[in-house]
Amino acid sequence: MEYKKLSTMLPADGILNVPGGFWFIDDLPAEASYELRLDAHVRCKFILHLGLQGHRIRRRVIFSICGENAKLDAHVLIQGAKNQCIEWVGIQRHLIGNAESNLFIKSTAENAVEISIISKIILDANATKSCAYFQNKNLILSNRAHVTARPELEIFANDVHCSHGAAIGGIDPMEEFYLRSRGISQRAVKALLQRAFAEEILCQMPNDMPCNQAR
Amino acid sequence: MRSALAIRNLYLNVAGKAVLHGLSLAVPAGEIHVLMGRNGSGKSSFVHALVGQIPVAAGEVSLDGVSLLGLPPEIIAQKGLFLAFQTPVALPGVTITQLLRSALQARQEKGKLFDHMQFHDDLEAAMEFMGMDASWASRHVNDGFSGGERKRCEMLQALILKPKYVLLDEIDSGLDVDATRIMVNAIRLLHRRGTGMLIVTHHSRWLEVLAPNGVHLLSDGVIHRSGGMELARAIEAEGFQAAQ
Amino acid sequence: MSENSSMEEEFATSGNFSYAMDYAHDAGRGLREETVRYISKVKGEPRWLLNFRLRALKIFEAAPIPPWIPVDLTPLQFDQIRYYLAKDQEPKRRWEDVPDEIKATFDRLGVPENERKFLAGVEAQFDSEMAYANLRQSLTERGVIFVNSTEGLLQHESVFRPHFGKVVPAADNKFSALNGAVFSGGSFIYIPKGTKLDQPLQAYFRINAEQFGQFERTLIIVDEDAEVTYLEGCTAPRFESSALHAAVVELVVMPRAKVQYITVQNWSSNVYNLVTKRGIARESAEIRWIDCNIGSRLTMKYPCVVLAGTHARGEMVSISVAHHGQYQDTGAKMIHRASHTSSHVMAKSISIQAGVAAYRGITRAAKSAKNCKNYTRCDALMIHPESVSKTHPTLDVQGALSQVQHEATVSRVSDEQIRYLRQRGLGESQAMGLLVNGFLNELLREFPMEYGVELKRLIEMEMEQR
Repeated sequence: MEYKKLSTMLPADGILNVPGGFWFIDDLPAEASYELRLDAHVRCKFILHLGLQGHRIRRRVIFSICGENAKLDAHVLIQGAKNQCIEWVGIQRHLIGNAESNLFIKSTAENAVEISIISKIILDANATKSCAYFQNKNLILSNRAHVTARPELEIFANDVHCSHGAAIGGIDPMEEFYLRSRGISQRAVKALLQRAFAEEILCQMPNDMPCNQAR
Repeated sequence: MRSALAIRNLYLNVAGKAVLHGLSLAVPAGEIHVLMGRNGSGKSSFVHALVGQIPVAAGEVSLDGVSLLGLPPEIIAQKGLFLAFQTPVALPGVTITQLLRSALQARQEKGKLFDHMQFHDDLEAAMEFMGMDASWASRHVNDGFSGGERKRCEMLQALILKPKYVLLDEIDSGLDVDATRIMVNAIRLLHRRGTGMLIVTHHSRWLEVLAPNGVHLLSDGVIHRSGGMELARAIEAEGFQAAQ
Repeated sequence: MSENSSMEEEFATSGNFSYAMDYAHDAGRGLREETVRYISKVKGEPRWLLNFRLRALKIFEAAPIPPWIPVDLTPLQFDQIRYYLAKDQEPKRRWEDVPDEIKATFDRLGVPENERKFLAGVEAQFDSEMAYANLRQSLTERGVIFVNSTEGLLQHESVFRPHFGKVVPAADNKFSALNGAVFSGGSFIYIPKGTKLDQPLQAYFRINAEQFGQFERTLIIVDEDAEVTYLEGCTAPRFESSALHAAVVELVVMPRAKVQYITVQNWSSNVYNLVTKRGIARESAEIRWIDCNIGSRLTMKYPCVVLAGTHARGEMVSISVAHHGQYQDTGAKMIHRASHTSSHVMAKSISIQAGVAAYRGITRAAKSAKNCKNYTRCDALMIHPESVSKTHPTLDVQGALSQVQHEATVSRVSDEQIRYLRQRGLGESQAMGLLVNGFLNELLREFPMEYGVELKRLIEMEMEQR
């Protein structure tokens, strides 16, 4: 699949009617807010990597499913460190039925970062036979980091498939012990597990993205 | 004094209950010893305590004369003690290659360059020996592995990391005939290298070909009886009661 | 939002009971300082308690109505409400005026004759005096105190005063302030060290002592190593003349003690039920909130456990059923302030016709709280296309040593399932009842058996009517 940079495609009013069949990479500056509208039969993949630059980072994104048979596959990786303040506010809104949206957000939090992830799924009364999923996993790596997650649902149609989950936690002590019992230092274990955690989304990104070039 | 993994008068409490009451056992370098005992007798807790997962209440644990008590788990591992877990945890996102490379790099002398070529050659050879095809190298550790696959992965790590002493926690359970054969061959390979081994198991038949140097029965928190293969056979034939 | 305006039409027409009001002592309508002084005087309260009420009144008056309340509260008319009604002053209605639906429910649940008139608001009491007297005797012998709030604060001040208003202070929110000003009734319970009561204590036994409902205040103190289960409410629909219920429940659970607080709420559809419930769990203590919300027009209730001591545990089991015209906004708050604490929330909701069931919760792990674990699970069953389900959880974690997890699913009863059961000979509404009870099954098991059985029957009835 070809990918397109959002910075080259997003109109001034911040609302983009997505043409189908692309990867959308959000390469916008630290603060940005926009709406992506998927019409009937549009299949769209969306990737966002936040945290590489900037101190105060904010994203407000609305994914509007406006037509039948549309499909959204969105992956967001947030890697916060030092004393960054990172905020994601997202809405997956299905105005019409028979369409699908999947949003998967992972974050890692180091040092004294503050990360807030608010994400809502709204299924309108007309949106029968929608499929909407949201998963958010957050890994905290430092005792000074602070993560808040608010996964919300507002469902007005009952013939739907919808579920969501969110989890916040540190490194699994069992996983940590296992690696240490192989002789790996605590510091190296942390780096290894942090990398492994992000890998699930990093591997979805095209090879010439800055984060992947650093690998 | 001969090199050994020596445990003297070990007292261990788990969740407030006393599990071991002064257990003493020695695994001399290059020897194979077997530990048997009822479910719940403390065999697993014992080996987990040796690698630093459960704090010891009293007693001594030393590896070739160096005390292991209170050391962080990665130092215990670097000093040469390896535990093949009975139910090892899954590490989603971490490949077998990444795990082994990190573990070897941790043992590397400072300033020395890591020999990637040698590593890949060694890994390939070890995987072939264990009947694992090339795809295993990029599989995530224990993620979606069957019980037998997990045990094979544990043994692969022991072969690559070259520890001085290996603790095998029920490495035979749940294996089919072919897999057991591979496991036995791996143990023999380790033995030829001079690795000391403590095999925790319930079954004796598969041990026959290994000809262990000692068989020990753990009961009531201590080593109740020690002997040779005849003790293991008696236990398998007549149950734990027969041996007491 | 469009679904709100149709609900408001419902609100306007349902729950209108007319009855003659004619009684001597009257705290009057609306809430002023004189009302509060009147209440305190009638109860013979000491100065410190009057001052507590007056301070709470000031807080109530100053506090705005929280903007996030999901339903318009104007129908409530705060200045028209009666804030204090003694037992013999409660308005009554005639048996002929009781809706047939309610009478049918009594039949179905097998409610004893003498209780039906009481529950329907036709009589002020029923004869449970004897049972309560016997129970009180055996409890007193064990050093257990089980009285209403007035008796608790007046006769056992040294026991209850140190904790009263500390778990839920008046300033906590507007409605806890309201309760602080005009509270009456409710249970004050003290369980001495090491005492484990195997029979649950029931609020039902005390209802004749004082008015049951409205602004109840409950305080339960469980001393070290003690255990108690407390039961309030009943499955049978309860008629309430008063439209506003703002209760407060405080639990203080000492080290290694355990409390199970079970509530079944089935208020009539005119009631706005705004409750603040919070428990403090000390070292190795355990608090379980078991909550079933079936009635009322609006219920807002978020039982909270503050895990203040190491190895403390908090649990919440919640069933909420939102019928047409109802808004059930319920959830749980688990606040981890100490290390090695754990919490578990299991919430199931059912929305019927245009009913709205919402989950609102928060799990928080402070930086100082190491190695804490939480798991929260919300499942929503939406019966009809016009049903509504909402979820608003918050996970808030500081530091790398705790694990907090939340999962939620939304589902419906599928045509395939109904078809399958019909092929086995069940009628459609019977099939619905079976499937809905199946959805609730694992949580219904947490309630005492009689409640579980009654709840199942209620739900079957509900499904049959649709």
